[in-house]
Amino acid sequence: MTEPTRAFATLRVAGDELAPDDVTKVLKIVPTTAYAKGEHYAAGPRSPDLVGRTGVWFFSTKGVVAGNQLADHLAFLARLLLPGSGEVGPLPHLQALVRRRSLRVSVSCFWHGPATARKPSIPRSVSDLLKLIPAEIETDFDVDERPKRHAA
Amino acid sequence: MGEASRPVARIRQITRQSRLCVSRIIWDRSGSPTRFVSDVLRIARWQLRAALHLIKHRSNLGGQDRVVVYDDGRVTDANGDDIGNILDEVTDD
Repeated sequence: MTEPTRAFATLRVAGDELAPDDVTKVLKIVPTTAYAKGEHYAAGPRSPDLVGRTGVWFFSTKGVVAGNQLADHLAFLARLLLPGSGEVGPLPHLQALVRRRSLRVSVSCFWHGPATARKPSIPRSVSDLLKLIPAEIETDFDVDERPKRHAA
Repeated sequence: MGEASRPVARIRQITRQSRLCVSRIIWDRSGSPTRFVSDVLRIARWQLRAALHLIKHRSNLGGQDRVVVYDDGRVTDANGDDIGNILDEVTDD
């Protein structure tokens, strides 16, 4: 049976001087995970107590945005930065915070499709927006391995 | 069983238990794990890839950073420090 396509995107702000609450206040969304440098955090019931080597504010659209169109997940992240309601939005505040605290911002895109599927592309509007922060974009695209044919 | 043989039996029992606790490395590279890894963990390959993606990025690592995955789902970075467990991240959707 062919598995359907799966996709989500993540936004990460990281740095030794990161105070996670600052990013939460700017973006007005609760992170999936956030910890300051040296802070203990839990990754799950099977994981041991972890300690942040650097500060991380991490948000994943997995389980937040419905559907598996990567463009929808990226559009959600873009709307966090530029709500499009005529107001300035969080973008300039995030830019200032990133400069002031020497933070690094990155967006990762996850996509997994059937063996014959065509890999998606990043919409130009999203990559242009992320350049303004500035944020790195990392893609993690792959397809199912084709079933091996056996000789009769 | 005589008194003399009890310590031997106890050592055998401890050895057997400790063998059960030792996990085996099933992935020790960067990039996208193979189907062998997801088969050992009894999950679909997309679930493995999605879980590893979340663990790496939450830990301030990138896709090309090397990680080690054990057959109990434990994931460590290249320095051997725990960064999560695949089985904590697996979902059906």
